[in-house]
Amino acid sequence: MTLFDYNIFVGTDNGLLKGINSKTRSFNNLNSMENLTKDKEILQMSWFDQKTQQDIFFCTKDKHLVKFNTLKNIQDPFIQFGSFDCGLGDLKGMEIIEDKILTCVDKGLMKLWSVNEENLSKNLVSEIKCGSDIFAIKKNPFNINLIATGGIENDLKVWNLDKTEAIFKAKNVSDNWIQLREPVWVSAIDFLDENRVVIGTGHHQVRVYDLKTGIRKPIYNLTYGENPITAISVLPDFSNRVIVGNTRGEMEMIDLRSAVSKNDQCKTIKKYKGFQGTIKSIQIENCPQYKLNGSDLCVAACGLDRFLRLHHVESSSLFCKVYLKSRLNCLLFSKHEPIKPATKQSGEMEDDQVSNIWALMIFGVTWRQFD
Amino acid sequence: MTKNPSEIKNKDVRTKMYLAMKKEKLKAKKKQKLENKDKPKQVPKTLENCRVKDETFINDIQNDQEVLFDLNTDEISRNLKRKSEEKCMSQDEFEKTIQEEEAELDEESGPNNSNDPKILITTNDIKIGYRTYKFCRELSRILPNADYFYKKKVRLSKIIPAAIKRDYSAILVVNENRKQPDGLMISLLPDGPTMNFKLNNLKLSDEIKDGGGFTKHKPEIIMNNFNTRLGLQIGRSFATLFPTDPQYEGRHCITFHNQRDFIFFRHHRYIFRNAKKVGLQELGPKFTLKLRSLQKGTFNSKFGEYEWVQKRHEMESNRRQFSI
Repeated sequence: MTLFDYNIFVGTDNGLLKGINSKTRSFNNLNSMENLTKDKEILQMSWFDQKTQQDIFFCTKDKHLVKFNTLKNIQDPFIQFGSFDCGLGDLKGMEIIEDKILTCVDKGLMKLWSVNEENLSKNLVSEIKCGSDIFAIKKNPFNINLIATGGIENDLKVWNLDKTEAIFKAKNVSDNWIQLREPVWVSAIDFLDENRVVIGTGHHQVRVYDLKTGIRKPIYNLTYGENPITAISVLPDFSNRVIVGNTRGEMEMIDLRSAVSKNDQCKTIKKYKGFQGTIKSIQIENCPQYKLNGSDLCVAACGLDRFLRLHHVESSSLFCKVYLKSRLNCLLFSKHEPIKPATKQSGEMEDDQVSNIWALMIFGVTWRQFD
Repeated sequence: MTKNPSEIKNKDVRTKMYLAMKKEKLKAKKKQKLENKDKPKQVPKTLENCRVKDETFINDIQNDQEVLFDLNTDEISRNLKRKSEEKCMSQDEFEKTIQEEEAELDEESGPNNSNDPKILITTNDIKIGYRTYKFCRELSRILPNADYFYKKKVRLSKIIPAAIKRDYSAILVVNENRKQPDGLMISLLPDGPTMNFKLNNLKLSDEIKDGGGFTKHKPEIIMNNFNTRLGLQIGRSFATLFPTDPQYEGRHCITFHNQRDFIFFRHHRYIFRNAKKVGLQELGPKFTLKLRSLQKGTFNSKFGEYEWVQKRHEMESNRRQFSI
């Protein structure tokens, strides 16, 4: 039997990879803080194999790719694949498709790579141009060949990796009541099932598209809150429910088929409380150790308020809340149960370095603390 | 059993009795005081004493490697570094640089303080009341190297890139309601963060009783009680607004005092009367700030990502819980 120290992994905006044990509510920095810079910000993480959930791939802002082995007691868990030539612009997304890696930059160049772990070589397999200002990219977990992309003034497109043309191009909703065009900003994507895509937009809408019907406009178009939606996650029980999070730290479960209420807002089923800042990433997973009222679905969310929160989906009660000291970008929630004792983190620093930092921070200012 | 003096009808007797009773009471009080002298003084229970434990509280920053790393790499650190560069150099070769500076001063017309923070002050409204105008003027006087501009009809989204181009390090926007200033937005340039405050209890310098006059010396800064991670972030942002080399001959000092999440801004001049006594004179203005939101990046109310937002019903249900 394999053993795991942690069941949640979080990437921060200063390049740290953190492992969290939700049982002991403790965390550990998995990579060392030396020679980390702002460029090493972790943008996205993904399981190499969704079934075993053993290896993590994560990409950093300077277009480097790293593999991390989550198994306990491994000598060197990190494998550096080095820099990837993803094209001009900022890296926006990374997905693992079977054993290939898909990268996408915001200028719209999507590249598929095949990597070899033994000699760390990488080969470009194919290239797709998917329009400018890409904001979100997501693979279809039910059909691995499908990739959905979207961004600012770049509506949802679904690509088949075998073809160079998009198999689905969304059409904008009709003009509003004063004949003005609705702006487009896809900010979060997830797949409901093989043919249905749900997106969250920067203009606080939640939309559902059906790929099979041939209708290019959304089949559901709901508004949620007043702030841009930053994260969206579908409940895995095919119940047409999603959990959305926005920049103001509001995370709620909404039913996509719910009738729109009077003030043009969709109905909320459950509200998850306690968030203080922007929610960056949401993930739902089955957690047998947190079984409550016959349901073991748990939702983990992290964001700019430096906290990781683990809620029960159905009862919306807070199971675990860990302060992680840095702004968090993305998270991976594994189904494995962590072993109970986790080693505590120990931080040591050279003396001259410390005094130098204090000099930078507190020049000319007196800081006082009253008890 | 003594009679109640108020029931006695003779005034003389009543007074005598009353005085005797009073004397006895005083005696008992004195005795009690003597007895209590040796007992330790009780500490009153206040909201601050009974504060709910905060996970983000920073007790020992020097040993917290990760927070230090975060502080050293975030957006504010760039502004702080910009300030301290000159200072660090001049400390190393103090005499040398002073000589050089003197030589430079002779050549140029004025001192070159490009590393000092340069601040832009403006208002949210185009037409502003007299008190708001005066408040802006006083702010621009307190903050060395600050410029106040009329808003005209320019949008804030256009002002910010223009300010970055002109090398401003921060922009302050005063909001007005019913001709009274009631909000303050501080945005550090070029890349954030942006803080939004509610402003109240404002007293301008001429409204303060026995207030002092203003001198142009650079002030000393005191930060009180900015202990949590959020508080540290805010305190550091305040620190970037002021120059780092206080001129002690000015003897004036600006205090940011945090108590129960309210930040009190005070401006004093001090004098050392003797070895033990210090005299204080208040200079204006004084006001109270309450944090509404802390946003990542420069001002963007619609699409900005918040690091912290005040949610009154969720956060302030417990009176003993504070976030700064």
